[in-house]
Amino acid sequence: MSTLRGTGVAPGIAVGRALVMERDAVPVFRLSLTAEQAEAEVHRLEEALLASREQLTLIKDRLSQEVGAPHAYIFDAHLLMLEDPLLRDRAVTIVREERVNAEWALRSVSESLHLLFSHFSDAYLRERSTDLDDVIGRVLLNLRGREDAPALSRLPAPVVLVAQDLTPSEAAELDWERVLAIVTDVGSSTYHTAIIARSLGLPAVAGLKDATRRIPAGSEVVVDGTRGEVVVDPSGSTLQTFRAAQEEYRQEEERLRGTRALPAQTLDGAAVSLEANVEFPEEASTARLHGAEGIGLFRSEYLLGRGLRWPNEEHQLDVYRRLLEQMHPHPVTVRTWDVGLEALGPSGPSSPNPALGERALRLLHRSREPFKVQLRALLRAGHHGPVRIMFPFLSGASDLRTALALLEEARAELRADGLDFRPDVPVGLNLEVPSAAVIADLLAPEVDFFSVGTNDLIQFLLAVDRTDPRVSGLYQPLHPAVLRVLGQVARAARAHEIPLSVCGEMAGQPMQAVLLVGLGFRALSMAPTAIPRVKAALRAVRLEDARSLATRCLALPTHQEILELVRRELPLEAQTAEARGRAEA
Amino acid sequence: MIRRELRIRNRLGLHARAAARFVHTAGRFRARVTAGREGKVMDGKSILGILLLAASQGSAVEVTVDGPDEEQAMAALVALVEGGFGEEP
Repeated sequence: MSTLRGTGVAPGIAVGRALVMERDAVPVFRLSLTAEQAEAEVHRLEEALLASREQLTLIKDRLSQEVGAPHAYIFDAHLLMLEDPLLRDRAVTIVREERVNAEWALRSVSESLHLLFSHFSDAYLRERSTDLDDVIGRVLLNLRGREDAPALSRLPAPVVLVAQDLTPSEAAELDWERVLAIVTDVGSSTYHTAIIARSLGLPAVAGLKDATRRIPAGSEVVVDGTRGEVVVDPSGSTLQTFRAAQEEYRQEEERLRGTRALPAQTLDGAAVSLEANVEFPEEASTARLHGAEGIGLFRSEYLLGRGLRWPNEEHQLDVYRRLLEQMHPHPVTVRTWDVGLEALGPSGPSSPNPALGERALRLLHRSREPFKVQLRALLRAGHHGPVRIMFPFLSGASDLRTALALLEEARAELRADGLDFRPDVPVGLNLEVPSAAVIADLLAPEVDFFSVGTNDLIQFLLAVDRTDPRVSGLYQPLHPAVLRVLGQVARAARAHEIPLSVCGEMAGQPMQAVLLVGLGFRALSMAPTAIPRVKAALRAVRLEDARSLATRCLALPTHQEILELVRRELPLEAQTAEARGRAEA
Repeated sequence: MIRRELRIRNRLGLHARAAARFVHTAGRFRARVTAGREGKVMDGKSILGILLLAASQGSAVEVTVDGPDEEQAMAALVALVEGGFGEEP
């Protein structure tokens, strides 16, 4: 048993077998089989060995012809390894006796042989283990190539995912129904995987540095996302303790979900609309379960999937329509493509600093079509329900007008095509670039709503990369500059009478949410699982008190003083909600 | 059964190519072949076994052959090893 400590980025407890994802390698699963399945698995292994043999023979023959037989010798060695009783017979025995899948058996064989090779004193001989890797890697690939092989999109059993990092494309491919928890080497709470985990209600621990090396594939692990701990090979009594805690957490969640029917309002009756941020259409049910009154942010770029292919108009229309149906009668706000240059193809140009480079609508001058197709699909979706269009990453009125002109073009096309659509779908601005936030009063007359993307806004306003652990401590949502800009945006929205919301992480932190309401925000969009806690906090405060608290905070010069004041002033119930949600902080 | 101690002469020792040739040669005969060094005894028809002997230049390997064609098998293996696997010494 060993315990790894990281940052708990999504609360909850899960127990399961580790699926360790290694970069550029075939992920290896451990499956328990019946005796009958094990026999079929032996057959699968033999087929893969045979396929590997054929490939190696071909390579060897070609090489012998092209450069002469002596140079092809290494493939002789590889062919012999394939047939070697220490590899082949041993793997077959493991499949039969331990009743596990072929991938797992090969991995065990490889590990025990590596151990033997690693004791060699002669460097040249020690390196022969790379030949072994080559051979086993080939067999694994041949196992994977078969249709019955496990894959990320087809997980054979529930797993705890252990990865260095989870790329958005992997996230899009994953079979989330079978994921129990997420553990990553990198990351912090504002990091992408954390956001996904929270929206799906999965416990997650990030920033473990070397979890992928320290957690053996297939081992049993306990993930405590509330405390930021991962226990590998837990003892019986440890497991019991965690199971009890898991049950307690489940009951607590149940209780919080019980608040679903309660109105989201302050003690003195001011209504606040609590909405959900989602990436996958499947999350709509999680959102409803937690009492979301709409989707305040749908990160549409997940529709691009692993291959970064633009989805066509009909497919998009279908997704948006399904979201609207599931959230009926509440609105669904779709953020238009927030992608970088990579979405234009792997051979295209690259950016030295993608976060500040050609991104989102800045790509319009290179490729108009994908953006226009999305706007067409959204206008058509408007015919089916209250969809809202949100433009991300605009820095001022001129790029806003370029985007609005494209929208007008989409409307004209739809009219010419004779398709049903709603021409006046509300159009809003995702305020995340500081320049746009600062001139919110000038932009308000040109749009129907504002939604502040606090994650990027804070990052750019404070010039802090929140994913860089060396400076992430400087990422301070309660920095006076942040509160001041938020206050200005709220004033501008009120003066022009347009709806205003926050769709960043701040909205999901009970304490910060109270402050946002005090500043004038009446809609907050967050990870679905954060809604009950935020609701509990809001129901414990009076709007008047939240307002005066916000006013006093605006006069303080440091993040620390603001934090202390808020902690001191918040009523007990709001404090409790905050403490429960702390794992999400 | 015949037992002989053979000295590895080639510079790279029993590396992949030499091991492959050893296993190929042993595989031509019906006799059971083992190769041993420093207490380890490996199947002479397993390349991983031969590699795991980690026999570098100058080390001694004890070879046994046991079976109907053991004499021919030993002769072939001795020729191969003593001849430095046809490589530069």
